[in-house]
Amino acid sequence: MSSFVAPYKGKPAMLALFIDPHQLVDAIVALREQGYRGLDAATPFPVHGLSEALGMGPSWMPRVTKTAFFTGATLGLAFQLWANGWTWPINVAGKPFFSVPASMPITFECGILCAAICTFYAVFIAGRLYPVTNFELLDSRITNDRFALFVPTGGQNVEATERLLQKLGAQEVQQLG
Amino acid sequence: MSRDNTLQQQADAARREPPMYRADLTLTQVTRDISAPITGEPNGWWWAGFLISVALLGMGSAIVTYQLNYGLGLIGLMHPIMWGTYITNFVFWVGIGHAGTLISAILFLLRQRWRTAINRSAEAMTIFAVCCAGLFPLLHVGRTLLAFWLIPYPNFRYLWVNFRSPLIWDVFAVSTYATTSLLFWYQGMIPDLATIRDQEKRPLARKIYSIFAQRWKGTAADWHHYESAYGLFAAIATPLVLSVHSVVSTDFAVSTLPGWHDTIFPPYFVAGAIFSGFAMVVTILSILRKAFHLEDYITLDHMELMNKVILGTSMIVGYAYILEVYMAWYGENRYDWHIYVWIRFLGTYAWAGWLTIFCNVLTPLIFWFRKARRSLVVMFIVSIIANIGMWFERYVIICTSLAQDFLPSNWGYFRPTIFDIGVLVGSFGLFFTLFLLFARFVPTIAMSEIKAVLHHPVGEISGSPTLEESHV
Amino acid sequence: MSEKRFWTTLEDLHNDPKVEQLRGEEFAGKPEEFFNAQSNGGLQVGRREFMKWSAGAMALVSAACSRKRVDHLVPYAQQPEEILPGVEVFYASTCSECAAGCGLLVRTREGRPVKVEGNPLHPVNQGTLCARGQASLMNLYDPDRLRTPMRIGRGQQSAQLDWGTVDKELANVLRTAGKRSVLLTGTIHGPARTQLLSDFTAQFGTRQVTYDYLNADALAGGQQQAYGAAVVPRYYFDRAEMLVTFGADPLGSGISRQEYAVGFGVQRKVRTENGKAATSRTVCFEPAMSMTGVNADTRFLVRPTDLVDVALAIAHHLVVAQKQSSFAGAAGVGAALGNFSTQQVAQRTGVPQTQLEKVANQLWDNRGKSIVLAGGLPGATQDEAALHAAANFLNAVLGNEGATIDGSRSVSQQAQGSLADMLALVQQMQGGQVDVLLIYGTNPAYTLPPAVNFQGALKNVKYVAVIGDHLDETARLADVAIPALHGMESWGDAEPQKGLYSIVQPTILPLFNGRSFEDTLISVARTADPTKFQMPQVTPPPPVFASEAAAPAAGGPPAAAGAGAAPAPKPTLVDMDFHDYLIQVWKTNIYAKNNLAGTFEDFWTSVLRDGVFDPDATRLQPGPARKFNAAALTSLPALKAPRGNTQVPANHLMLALTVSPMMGDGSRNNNGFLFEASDPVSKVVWDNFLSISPATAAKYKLEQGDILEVAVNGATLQAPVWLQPGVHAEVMTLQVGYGRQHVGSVGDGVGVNAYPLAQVNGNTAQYAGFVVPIKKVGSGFRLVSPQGNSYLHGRHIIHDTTLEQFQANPRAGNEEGHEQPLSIWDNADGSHEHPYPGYRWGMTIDLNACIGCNACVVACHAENNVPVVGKNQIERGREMDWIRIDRYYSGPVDNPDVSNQPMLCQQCGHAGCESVCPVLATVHNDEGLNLQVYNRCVGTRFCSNNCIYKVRRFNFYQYSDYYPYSKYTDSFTRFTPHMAYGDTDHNWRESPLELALNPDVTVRSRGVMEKCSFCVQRITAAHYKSQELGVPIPDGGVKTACQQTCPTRAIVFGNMNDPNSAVRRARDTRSYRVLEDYNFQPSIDYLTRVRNRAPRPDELREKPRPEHAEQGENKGIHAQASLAPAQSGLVQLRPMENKA
Repeated sequence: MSSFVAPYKGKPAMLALFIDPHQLVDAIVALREQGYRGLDAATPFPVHGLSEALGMGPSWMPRVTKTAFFTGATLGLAFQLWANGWTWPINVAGKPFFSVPASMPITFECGILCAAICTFYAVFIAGRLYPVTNFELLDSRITNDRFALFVPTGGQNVEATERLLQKLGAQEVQQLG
Repeated sequence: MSRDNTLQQQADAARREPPMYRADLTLTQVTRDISAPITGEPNGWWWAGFLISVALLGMGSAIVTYQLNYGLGLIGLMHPIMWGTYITNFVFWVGIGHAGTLISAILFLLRQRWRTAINRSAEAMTIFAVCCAGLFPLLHVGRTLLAFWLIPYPNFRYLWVNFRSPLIWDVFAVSTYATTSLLFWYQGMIPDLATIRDQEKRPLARKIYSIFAQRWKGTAADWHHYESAYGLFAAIATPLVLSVHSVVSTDFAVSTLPGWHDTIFPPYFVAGAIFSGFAMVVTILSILRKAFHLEDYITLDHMELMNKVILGTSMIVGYAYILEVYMAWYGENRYDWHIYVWIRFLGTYAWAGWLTIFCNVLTPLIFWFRKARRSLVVMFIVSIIANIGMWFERYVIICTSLAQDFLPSNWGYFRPTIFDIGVLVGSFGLFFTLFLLFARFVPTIAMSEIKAVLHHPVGEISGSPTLEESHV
Repeated sequence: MSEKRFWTTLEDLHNDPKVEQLRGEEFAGKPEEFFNAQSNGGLQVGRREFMKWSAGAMALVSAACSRKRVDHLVPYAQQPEEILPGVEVFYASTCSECAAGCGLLVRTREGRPVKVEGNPLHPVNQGTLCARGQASLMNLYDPDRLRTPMRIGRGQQSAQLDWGTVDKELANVLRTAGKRSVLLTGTIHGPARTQLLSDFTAQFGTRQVTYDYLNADALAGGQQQAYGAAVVPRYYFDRAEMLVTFGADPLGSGISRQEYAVGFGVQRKVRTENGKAATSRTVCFEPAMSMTGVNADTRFLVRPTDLVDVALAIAHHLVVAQKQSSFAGAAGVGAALGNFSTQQVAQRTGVPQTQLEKVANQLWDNRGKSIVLAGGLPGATQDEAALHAAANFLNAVLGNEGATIDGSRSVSQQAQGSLADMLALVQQMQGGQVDVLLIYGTNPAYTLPPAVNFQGALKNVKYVAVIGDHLDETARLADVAIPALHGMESWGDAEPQKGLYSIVQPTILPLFNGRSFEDTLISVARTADPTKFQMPQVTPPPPVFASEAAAPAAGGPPAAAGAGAAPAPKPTLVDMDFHDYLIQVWKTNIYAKNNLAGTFEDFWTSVLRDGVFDPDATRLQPGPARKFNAAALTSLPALKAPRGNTQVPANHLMLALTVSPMMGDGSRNNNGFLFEASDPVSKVVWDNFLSISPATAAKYKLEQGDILEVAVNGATLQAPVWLQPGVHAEVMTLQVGYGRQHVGSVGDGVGVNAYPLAQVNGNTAQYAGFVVPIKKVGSGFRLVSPQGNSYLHGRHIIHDTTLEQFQANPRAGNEEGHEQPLSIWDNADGSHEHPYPGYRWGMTIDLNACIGCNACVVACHAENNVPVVGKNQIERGREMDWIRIDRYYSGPVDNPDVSNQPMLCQQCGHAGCESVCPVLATVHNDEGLNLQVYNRCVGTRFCSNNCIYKVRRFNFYQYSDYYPYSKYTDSFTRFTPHMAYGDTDHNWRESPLELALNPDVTVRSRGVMEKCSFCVQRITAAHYKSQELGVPIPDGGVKTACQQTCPTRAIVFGNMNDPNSAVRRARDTRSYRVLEDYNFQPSIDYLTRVRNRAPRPDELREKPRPEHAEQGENKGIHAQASLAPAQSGLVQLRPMENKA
């Protein structure tokens, strides 16, 4: 997914910049209908319908979060049982060594903590995000006010594609590669 | 009625509402306005505020150092009243923090579009408030250097902690809360940091923003997972935020002390936290929007909505006050009666009790008037009064209950010393230092969300409210 | 058979040729290779060369450096047989804090006293010890003690002297002065000590004068008038079922108060007599609440000047009105009592006539088993003689003389000081008749009123030497100050009552360059006349080894050695020290009283072991009754003109001085333990004050902390006001024993010195009955009390009832609660609770017996290394007592009932503290103890918040380092603890105070919680002992420090699992637990207090008093337990209500 990272050193492609997200979505739909594949888009804010237009399935984030929550909670509960009830039971205020109700707050917090951390890192993994000092986008306006469409051309039909993109409303079209 | 019809009706209703933002705002303009404090030079007001805050922080640090050197005897704690202003401050700051999470998570889940203008700064407030809150238990324990013993870390003696103690619940809840809030905040900020990165001309700043922006490109897949995760975070944070103050309230509710041992504490504390948190947001934003010229983004409509929240939670809090007295009466517990009625409202601590009532129950009533809700001066004053009131509410709960408990021979009276006050003031120094740094170096408003709302006045954007109404 | 073969490796075993080769070489590892092989990069020196160099280098190094001191730890090269490191040794001794002569067991560890306890064999204190005795360790290790002889030069000089100079100088001046020398001492008894004094005085012709801080010559004078001999009688409180006091405070400041308290406790216990519950009855007529008054069943507020009238009214009722006893109709008696009919006296004093008659009748019912006691400082008015006469007369009428009072046989010797003698001495000094004055154990510069002009008289004395502990007020006026030793450092003896001999054993070598008073006397006497105080020593000790004796002298002819034993050495005279002298006197005088067979050595060993020798079995019974001389009553001028109608004009109050139960006469005032243990009545610490009734204060618009100037005949002082319920409306009181100027850094300037207010009339001192104007000169003085609030607020914390109700209903006053404790948990085995097999420790505290004397508090401080934190910290609520006495008032504010409740960790089964501790620093052990693990504690203090008894204490500072902390700090040092705890004050680290620490108990650091542990170190020690002996710990095998010292045995401790244990047997229908309904399941049961008096009307009501009836004082100021009810008007002040 490094298609928007400058300098672009992949196969020949085309970058179209739109000023209206609706046009971007429409352009994607149109391009896909015409058989373009490997399209990618970048926008300054999440554009509704974009992922559907690009043909992405539902995100797998919820599964990460759910799994993490239950894992964390189970570990939290088990740890309390082991620590207070098993490895060194101590008579505290005449109460049972272990009781479930008293363990619930920590069990819950453990689940939440695990879920939060895993979800956070899952986004990083999914987007291949990691800190770098010299990151540059193909066009710095992409995070500001332009909606970019990346069209791999493979060096064929370059002019037709450019024309098509301009027709679909692209304000600017750049050749890449 | 089918779901579609309902959605349609809501959408229609939303269209009838006046737009939240000026019609002529463009994406470019949004970026320019919001990143102006970052890319430009700070003005005199910022410097003045920053220097004052740092001075207060320095004073607080000096006092803390002194206290760590000589011992807790410097603050006003005494034999029956073993928890004083430090725990008051702890609960106060944790409560302040709640508004941020509430705005970013709960209002998100409730599809409240207006949150976009304030959620970033409210979340920042949460983080910094939790930072301040987290300090106090450390300062408060007798042996600060050994406070890490509250964490169940592996050790060769197999010596674990007492998972039955609400203080351990606190450790887990507050640290989870701090971690989750920080991650939530940071994750929501990455696209904006990328925007700044791409706008930034200065090489060093660009490098730094580049590091924090984590190669954010804004591709469709990025946004796809990002939005999903954001929603999940909101779903996690919502029960979390409710649990945190509930757990904090168990520090008191689980004990035997009259005035503490009270089953209504969890919801009562959460309501109080929201109340004080929103008041703090109002206080801060009414300054921020002026100082950074963000009136176009944080509009009077936003402020009014928050004032409505303040009014609502203040009434919940007032109800809890009444209920406490009622239960003391109905329960026929002479110790409870002594604390709830005699001490808090008729006796030794009547000043604090009535101050609390005045600040938290009576003053916010002015928000029944639309004029007051939309007056910056009024809301600024009321929000400050509300926060004073909420500080004293915790003070009343903690100190009055401890001051006169079961055996009259133990009774005492808490008198804060200059150290108590100094550390509280110092914590405000810390808070505002962090907040001013935040306002200087981080986009204070979620640009991407504002942009989304601008471009889709009626929610088609999944990252922000789909169908919304601007009422609470 | 092959030869047995030794091998080192497998190769060796298998005869590897390499091994054979190696065997020929010196080192298997070939060190030469290492040193020589250049290829290996090794050192290029030979092995032997290397060794040479090394040796040279070592020599150089050694030569270049100075020698390091070598410290050897030599743990007892020859270990004393009885001392094992880590094992305590008890020595029997006698307490030297006052002249009462209580027996001690001094607990020593590794040769240092760490705790004192009462000697159970000693008849005076019977194993108990008062607060002052418990605190004596602080006086032993007092860093401010006079450490070496000093030349003072009347305050002009300060130079150290050596003992030789002292001896020569004293010998010289005494020889020169002869009969013009005086030895002024406090009370000294004990056969050897008195013998030494007479030997010493006889040698120089010195005259001895005895003068104490507080003198009993008024009491003795009364006895002389009544019975012909000036004695202090011995009182048998354990035989007195009824006690009536007129101003006297036997429990708080009695001459032998510990003995009195023990006896009082015996009678105070609720017991069954003739099938009915019974307990003693105590009636106090007093101007202000004393410690005895706190424990009285009925108190009457009487002005000091009216005490005589009241006493005589009772006598009148018995003898004249009812014509009881043989004195009825006796010559002159009727006439003498004529003015004192109950009716007249009731009119004059306000004590209801019916009540007077009731008390009189009750006394008559208890004749022969009651004590009437008068005196004390509040009784020391101008009519003191008449008061004593009246009391003696009453005792005679009631037949108590010879039944509960012994004035003929084993009389008390505990108070021999005489003010009259002192006054005569001052006269002689004034007249220049005294050249040399030797002072020991008394402090006239502190105690004598300025009008006596002791200081002026002292100027006419040529040479003054003071022997004492401190460079005190008197010592600073002397020519030389000579240190004496503490009782725990020196030999001595005591005879507190005639025929009761007690021994003082040293338990530690002198800490400083001191010498005991007795040794100083001996040394001076011998310096003056070398023939004195010598003892013949006939033979040197025999050689240990026979060969040694037989060994020839170096160079001498062997024949001489063979000639036989060396010639017997000539008898020589050796110097005698007081130890020798003591043994000699006991051998000569006391040994003979021993009926048992055995040598003196056996006898002496038994005396040292027991600490006491009580040969006279008749001492158990009082001596024969003496005949009362009716002239004592009839001849008194005071009776002719009763002062009962003394008017106290408006804006005036009648002042009475009292004695502080904690500080006593003020002689041992450099003691933080005592200052910190609050006054049993007011609960004020670190100060004395003017006690004024709240109503009077309201009338004259006085508030707590206002400073009044009190002027009595020229002597003035300023003292703060304390609003004290139970003070007569026209009276204010002030304690003596405070306001020392020169006693040490702890005691200096604490409170004000009230002694100068005493007025000398002829030969007696008047301490009460001065009518002084109220003159307010200031306000805002901080009087500090650790007790927050003194009223019960309708809470059922103290259960009490009256005897009558209790007889009818054994659960009277204790009806509530007691339901089966509930548990919400079900264990797997169906039980609800954790099992405590074996031992389960518990305690029972009898509220009826607790007199609030604070002995337990101080004992706990001493046992558990509880720090002293000082007035400023207590004002801020940081008192550290592990056990405290909560004192509550109930009933009418002007004359309330008082209840004492010792409050300590209740060792709850369901302890609230434990479940909230995050780090498991407080948990339960298998014996039901609620443990506090200091090492684990991080100091969240949640435990204290959740403790419903609030018995946990927090170390806000490093209190253990800063001990005892200064009393007064200004607002600046309030925030700078390093100054507040400054370098001038003592701390545990300061030598020798650290020696007082109990090595068995952790010294807590800053930031941790601490609390009562039921003396877990003692329980552990008992476990070791039990394991050693292979038997279970017997009942009573563990005594907590508080239990051990309690004079009235109010505290019983033991194993609750054992149904026959004392702690279980003590529990009966009276037992209850404080805040029982909270289901903390405390291990401590309290026993309902049974007051032996008629119930007040409000007590007959079933309904508990409405909440906050006594409230009012919700200023809640912790440190100043305010008495606002009277001021705020929330409480309706009832007229004085005296019920008998």
